[in-house]
Amino acid sequence: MRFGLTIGEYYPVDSPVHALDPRVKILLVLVFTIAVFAVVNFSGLTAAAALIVGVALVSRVPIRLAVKGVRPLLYLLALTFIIHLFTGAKPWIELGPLHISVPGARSGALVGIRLVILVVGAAFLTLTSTPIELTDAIESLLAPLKKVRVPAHEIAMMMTIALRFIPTLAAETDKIVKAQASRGARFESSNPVTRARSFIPVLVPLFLSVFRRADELAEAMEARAYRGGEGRTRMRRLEMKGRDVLTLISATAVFAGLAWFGRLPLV
Amino acid sequence: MEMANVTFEYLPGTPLAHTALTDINLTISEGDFIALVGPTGSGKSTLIQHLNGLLTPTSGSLSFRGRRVGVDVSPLELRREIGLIFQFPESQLFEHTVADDIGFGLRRQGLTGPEVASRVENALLQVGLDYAHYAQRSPFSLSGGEQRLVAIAGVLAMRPRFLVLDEPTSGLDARGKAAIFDCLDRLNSDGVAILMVTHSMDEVAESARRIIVLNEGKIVLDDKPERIFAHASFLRGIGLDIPKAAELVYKLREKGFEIELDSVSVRSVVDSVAAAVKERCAN
Repeated sequence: MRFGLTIGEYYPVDSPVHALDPRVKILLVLVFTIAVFAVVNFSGLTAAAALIVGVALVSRVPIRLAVKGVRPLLYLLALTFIIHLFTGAKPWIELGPLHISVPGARSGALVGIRLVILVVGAAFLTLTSTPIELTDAIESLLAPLKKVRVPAHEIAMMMTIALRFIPTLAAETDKIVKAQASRGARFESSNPVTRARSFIPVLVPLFLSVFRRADELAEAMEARAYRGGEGRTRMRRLEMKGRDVLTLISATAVFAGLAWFGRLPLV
Repeated sequence: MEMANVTFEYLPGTPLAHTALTDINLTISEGDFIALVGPTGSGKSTLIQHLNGLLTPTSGSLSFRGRRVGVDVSPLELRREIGLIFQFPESQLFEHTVADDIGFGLRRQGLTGPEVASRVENALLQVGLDYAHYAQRSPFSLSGGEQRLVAIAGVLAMRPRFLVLDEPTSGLDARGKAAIFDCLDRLNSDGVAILMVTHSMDEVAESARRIIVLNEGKIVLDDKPERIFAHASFLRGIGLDIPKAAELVYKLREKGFEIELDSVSVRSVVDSVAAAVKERCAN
């Protein structure tokens, strides 16, 4: 099994971006997404990419880590581009039996680049905030919805638990894979059926351990008299500081500018 | 088995980079019985995962019977010769019956029917479990100690010449521990080399003929047990104990008893203390 940072995993350094209130970061990712969708020219996308590079520099996170998140999307991107290429409008370029649409090529490229920018931009949210910060922020942002019976606290708690167990289960999987490899298991067969079957010796022990852990966690929580959200106080409180508000307002203004610039009749 | 200048780093090139092993040089011979001790986080688990090719050193090299691992011999071949048993190995059980689980590695090797059955029976015998009684039961219906023996049998069925165990007795009661040690002693007298990671110095004293002390990723001591425990204050300094029997000897020596120490097992310490006391009474 591989070690190390998976896509979008928290990158622990000190930076102004890391220090920002996670709620602000979530909101800004939303605003940025809307702005990038509004952009319909390449100049606007270039500007958006420049903004991301700026964020990367300020956050001291290697941009390579954020770009890694695009890899699983490559097939999707290629497919989108090809569909656009052949289903656009006039004028058509005829290459033997192929009919390629010129506006189709343009919109395909726009959609593709836009998607890359969104994924890379959003990666900085998880690269610069710990999972706990993010779930606290989501709970806080969803809090107004409690009035319409959205279980904000429970949703956040489930997310926290799920996130908390990712490294534990990754370590557990790693251990079981190594233990089975030590007794002769192989996982690199080229036949997909054999390959899938070869994971049974890993999955059975893993599921057993997941259920055992879930049981133990539930018991431990009950033993500590955990009863959900009503009336709970928190150890870490999110506090919106002047700097956070300022960042929220100014970055929103910049993104609005980006959307406006992206709709100008430029290339 | 030889390790030359092995260094291993986790997550190289990231802010989480961490050097787990530094410049390890180690030779393990046929028939050795070695205990690997060291405080938590000293790199014991990382070290043993190199022994059967699960981890590849960041720098340095390993060779098995003179053949370079990863060059002349693949990790897959290595794993047939070197059995590695992780901590809490019972968590790797997955088959419907004990016999199927033990036979898993053998079937992966392409062995079939009667050969698998006879090796499974033999492996159960080696760990001291009765084939007729256990073979067709579900491994999940057994006690923790029995499950662990079954898991060990699953590795023994591969007939390794060198067995590496990570804390094989942790979490077991006295009877479970004794069963494991009986099994290891038997294997060792059949010529299987054994390296076990442990925290319990009393266990080390009974069986091991060589002790390797690891601290902060480096080998700090590598010697016979009775010589290792002469460094009692150093061992305590890095957070390790010394066996109770050895401690008794050192305390008596401080009181002026002349005690020869050529083994730190309880039995031989009892004998040498008795001899020393007898001598003093005679004078």
